[in-house]
Amino acid sequence: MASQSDRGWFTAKRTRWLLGGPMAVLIAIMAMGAMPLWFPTGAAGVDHLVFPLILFPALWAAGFFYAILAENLRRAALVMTALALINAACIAVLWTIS
Amino acid sequence: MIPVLATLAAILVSLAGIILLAASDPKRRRVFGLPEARRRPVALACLCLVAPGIALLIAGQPAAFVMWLAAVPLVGWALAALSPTRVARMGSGLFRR
Amino acid sequence: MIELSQARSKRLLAVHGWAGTVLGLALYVVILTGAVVVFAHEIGTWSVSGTRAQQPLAAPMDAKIRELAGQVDPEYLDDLNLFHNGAGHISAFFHTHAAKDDGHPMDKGVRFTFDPVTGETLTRQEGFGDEFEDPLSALDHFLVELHVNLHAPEPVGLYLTGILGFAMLAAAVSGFLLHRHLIKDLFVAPRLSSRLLNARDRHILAGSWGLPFAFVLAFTGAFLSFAGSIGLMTISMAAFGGDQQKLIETIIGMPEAEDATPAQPADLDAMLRQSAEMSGNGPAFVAITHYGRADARVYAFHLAAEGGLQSQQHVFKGSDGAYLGPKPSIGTKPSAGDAAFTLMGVLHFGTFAGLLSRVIWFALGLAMCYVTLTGLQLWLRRRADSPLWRRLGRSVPIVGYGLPIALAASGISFFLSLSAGTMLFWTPAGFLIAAGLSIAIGCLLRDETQLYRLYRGLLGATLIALPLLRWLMGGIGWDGMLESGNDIVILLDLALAAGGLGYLYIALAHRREPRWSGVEREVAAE
Repeated sequence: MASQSDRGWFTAKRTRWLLGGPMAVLIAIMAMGAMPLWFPTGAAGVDHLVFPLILFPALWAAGFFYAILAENLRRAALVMTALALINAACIAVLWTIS
Repeated sequence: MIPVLATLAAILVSLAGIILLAASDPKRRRVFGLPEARRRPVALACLCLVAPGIALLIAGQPAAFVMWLAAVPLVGWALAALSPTRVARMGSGLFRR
Repeated sequence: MIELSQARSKRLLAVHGWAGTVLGLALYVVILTGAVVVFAHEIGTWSVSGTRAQQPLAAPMDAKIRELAGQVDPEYLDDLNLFHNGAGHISAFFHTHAAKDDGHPMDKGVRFTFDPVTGETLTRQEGFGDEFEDPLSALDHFLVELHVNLHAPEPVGLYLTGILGFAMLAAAVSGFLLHRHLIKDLFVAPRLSSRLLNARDRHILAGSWGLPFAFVLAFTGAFLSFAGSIGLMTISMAAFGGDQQKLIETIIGMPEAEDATPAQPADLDAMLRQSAEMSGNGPAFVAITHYGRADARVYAFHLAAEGGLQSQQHVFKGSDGAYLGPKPSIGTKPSAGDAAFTLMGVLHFGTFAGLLSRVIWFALGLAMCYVTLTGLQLWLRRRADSPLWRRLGRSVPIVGYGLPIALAASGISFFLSLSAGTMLFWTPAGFLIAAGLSIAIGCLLRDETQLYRLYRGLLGATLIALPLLRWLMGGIGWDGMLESGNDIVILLDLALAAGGLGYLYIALAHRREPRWSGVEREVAAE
């Protein structure tokens, strides 16, 4: 954590704010958008559309508390960026097949 | 009418469990300067607390179950918020009459 | 209960404290109005002194619908929604699916209201579905809108309440993680050793017991706010090329192949009677698609039958009245998604089992209000030495008492404007005037004890005024209510009067300040 403090604008505090604030919201929205790709469609063929909507608050809370509780901020930043990229890729796939 | 009565009955049984737990709670007694309880029937109290919920589920009363689930914390809070001195005062008031 | 490092606890405490402090009062507004609108439908009925039809949509109306269908542009026969307001008047909204200027999908057509008992048409309005006015529902609509979107325009209002839902979720989860002695302290009544310790105990006790449902209400509330706004938008963009209407149709269940051949509609009353027999209660909502065509469908929606949670929907063929089977709210057959969606509504609204479930949910709402306000008080007590926080702290009694006073005042001005028919203007105006007055009193009156007394007195007086004004303006006493089965009006009258008397009593009674037994001492920061 202390290693972040000498990196100019990205101090530990600001990084955590960025991760817990905009990044958690971004990941939650992207994960919701990407879910129809991999979530089972269920008996009526709508589960993959309904569950992303229902799970959105949980997706946000998971990202938010991960950012708040993470001791290793650098790893948290990497994990969250990777999640954002994976979900962006899923959305891109979904986009092209729909 | 059955779901309403079942809910109220379930809440009452759970209330008994909460009363048992509250009356014998070590920290509650210590904070209010009461001697430690001689017995703490935790198993019996927890049975009283959760059994009505399980019974409602088995009896196929989902509405009553959800109402019970929501009402028990409220009842528990109301009960725990009364200090033992207050409870004693209310009790003696009742008996004097 | 959960061991956290000091740095983690500090960060969680910051989240808990600032989420509660910055958004606490706004959260209180949403929670208190939420508690009130558990009774929205009952308030609607009460505000017009009862209804003549207890189950308006169970009354015969086939002939009336045929008559009205002949009076609208055939384009609007595409879809017909039938529902009723608190006064028991039926709304028949003949419409088609259109989009507003900003591209947001919205139904457009003609809406009639009629009295199911006399069959008389009361109003006819044409336009978009969100533009119709219903003065008789002014009070309950005002309260619901305040809870749902704080009267901010769409979709900003939904985003605001959604963010407040997130704040409540963050506060609940961080509160749970922070409180290390959750189980141990579960039965410790608030101690009287010091003001600070007392405030802490009160907040923690209410918060611990309220935790499960604080989480549930925040989660379901955030879902309800965000699903219809950002949720549908995101998923439609990702998977439906941005077509929200198509996404909604897919979720609700794909319409079958079309058949535009004209066909005489079958008897609607017979279908609804059959549907009511299967469901155990009269329909709460009816939708008819393609009225007057061979592919017409009648969807009768019923609230959960006694003892159940799941609402029911039955589908009939509109042209010959044949029963086609039940239909879940989501999808064409039962699914996990439909069950989860139903549960969200059940757990948030608390209206699934009549009066008892409503009373419990109302109490849950009040308990959440208590947690929010005591949390704010604790935050302020800890900063009692700072003049800035002392000044800001005034906002807690101002909003804490000002809001219920203003809510009651909106009801008072609803009744006062009832005879002139200007309820749509005066209901929010009354709220704003009372809110302004409460704020002015809070800013002007220096003495805190006097301020609390005045607020309690005002709240008591406004609450008592409500049943009195209802009786004076509505002109119907209790004997008439019992005869027409409007017991709920009497119950609300009594509840309001009792609440009012209670507040008047604590405003007037001389109560001794609690005596703090111990000296002010350091309280653990949790």
